[in-house]
Amino acid sequence: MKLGNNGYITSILILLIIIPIIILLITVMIQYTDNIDKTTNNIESDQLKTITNDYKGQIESLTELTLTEVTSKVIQTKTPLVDSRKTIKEVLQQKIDLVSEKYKKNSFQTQCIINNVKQTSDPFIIEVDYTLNVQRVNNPEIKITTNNKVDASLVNPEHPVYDPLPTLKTGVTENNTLNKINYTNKLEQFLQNTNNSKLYENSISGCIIKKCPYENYAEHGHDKKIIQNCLDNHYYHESHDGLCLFCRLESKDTCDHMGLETFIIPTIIANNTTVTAPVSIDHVLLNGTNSSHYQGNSININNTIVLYLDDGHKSKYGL
Amino acid sequence: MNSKGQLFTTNLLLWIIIITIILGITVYLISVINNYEVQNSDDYELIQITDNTLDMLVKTEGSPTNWESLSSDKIESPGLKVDNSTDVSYKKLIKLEEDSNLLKKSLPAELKYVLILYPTNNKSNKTIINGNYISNSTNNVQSSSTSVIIDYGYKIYNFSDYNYNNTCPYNEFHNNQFHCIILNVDKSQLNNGNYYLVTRYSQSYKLSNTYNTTLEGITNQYTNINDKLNVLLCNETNDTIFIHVNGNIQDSYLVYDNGNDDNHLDSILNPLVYTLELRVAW
Repeated sequence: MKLGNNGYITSILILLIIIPIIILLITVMIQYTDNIDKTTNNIESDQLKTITNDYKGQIESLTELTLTEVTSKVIQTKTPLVDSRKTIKEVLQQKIDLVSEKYKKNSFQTQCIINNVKQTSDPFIIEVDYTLNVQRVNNPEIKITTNNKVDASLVNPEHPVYDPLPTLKTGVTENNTLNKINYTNKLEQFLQNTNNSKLYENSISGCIIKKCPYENYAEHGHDKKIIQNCLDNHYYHESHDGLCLFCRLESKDTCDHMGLETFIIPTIIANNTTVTAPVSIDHVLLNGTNSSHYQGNSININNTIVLYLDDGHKSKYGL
Repeated sequence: MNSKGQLFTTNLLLWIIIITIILGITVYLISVINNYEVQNSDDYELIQITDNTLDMLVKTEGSPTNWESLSSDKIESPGLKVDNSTDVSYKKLIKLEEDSNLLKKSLPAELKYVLILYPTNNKSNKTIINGNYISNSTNNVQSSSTSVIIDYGYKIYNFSDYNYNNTCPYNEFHNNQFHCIILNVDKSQLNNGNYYLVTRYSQSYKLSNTYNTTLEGITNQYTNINDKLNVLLCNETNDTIFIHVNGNIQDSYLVYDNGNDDNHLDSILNPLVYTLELRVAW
């Protein structure tokens, strides 16, 4: 250093002035960055929570849509599924993967795995178990992993679930828009000359699963108006002997789970009112085992409708 | 002056003064920033406590479930949310108001706090739900607020949400502009609570059972239909009841109240949005 030169001293002194200013700037910048990080983390955490809740709603809706599509396809192809739970799980997984792709575009890495699709004690509801991982693409520290389950309804009018059993068992073609199946001679043929099976020529039943509003089933017998209303709307009822949706899709004859049953309504009225015929319930008539088509006594609902019911079903429906 | 004396020139003295001033200002500013940072950190902690506590109150149901009917020592967290809804429970709010210790457990011991509820369109009508009033002049006060709707525990069915046209066994009523709700009514429900028809305008209604019996009437704004339902149930323990109202269904509701508190039925026709505000201070 040449002290005799004023220019050198000025440079050194300016340098001395700049250093504290740089320190000051660094301090301020660190503080600002810290504040921005805190705010960003809060916003991103909130976004993760929102996405987690979104998924819950989406899975419920997509499960119902999947059930509509799968049951409709089984009816169209007239081919039963080998493992209905697995098929529904796979179709649902494909739909969920599309949802995850959308989130990826919004800087979130999401992965939702459908672990299980199973029946519940209520045959009108199925349960979906899933694992959801959500994390921010550019900030992997912000992430949520959750195991959750969602109940999906079989009776949401927006996503009607079709009953594949009549088609799979008898080969009848369903008209989904009318919610009515006319079995023509298919059911009669399926019953293979069981006593008075001819009465089931042109019999009808519903094809969309709809829950009967008369929760106490014995109310069906309170007034003709009620049973008539149930038959007109082709409602479904809970039944230990009936088949659950999964077993219907696999065209099984029996089901270990809580299942569903509906009336199949004969349109031919026998001349003799004391005649017996196979019981007018789907799990009896559509059972592939011949011995299962047990007989029931006739019950006049009105001038045009006669049902055939055994004592058990008479008692259940208060008829 | 020879060349050695140049170090102590006026020029140099001026520079030293400037550096000293700048260094002084720098030290002062760093000290201010540090204080600000400490204050900011305290504020941030307070904001976090306020936001998290308010979130806990309005976004969780609390634990154990039905904590509002338990004694204080058994309550772990006083979440106010109603299960499967975004509304807050009136019963839980009342419990929180009655028990001053409930919120204290969820906050640091040295913190002053107050939870206030007021109608969003009427800020002067404030109710202290829990804690003690903190004035705005208190140092370092943080407050957080959120809009809430209060669920008074009524089970509410809006006629416009149901469409039984063509599927109701009493379809002849529907031809005369009646709309219905089909409901399974239990005798014990009638013993433990009250069914009301809540309509904005006077409307005719019909109540029918599965025995083809129908009772009729005209609604006031809030019409208790328990007696008629009791008649329709006869000796049955339960029955499906078809409840038909005529005319405007947007403002027609069937309401079940099992808390014997009909004072808030007007909230169904004229719902009020409330603000729940939590204020905390060290």
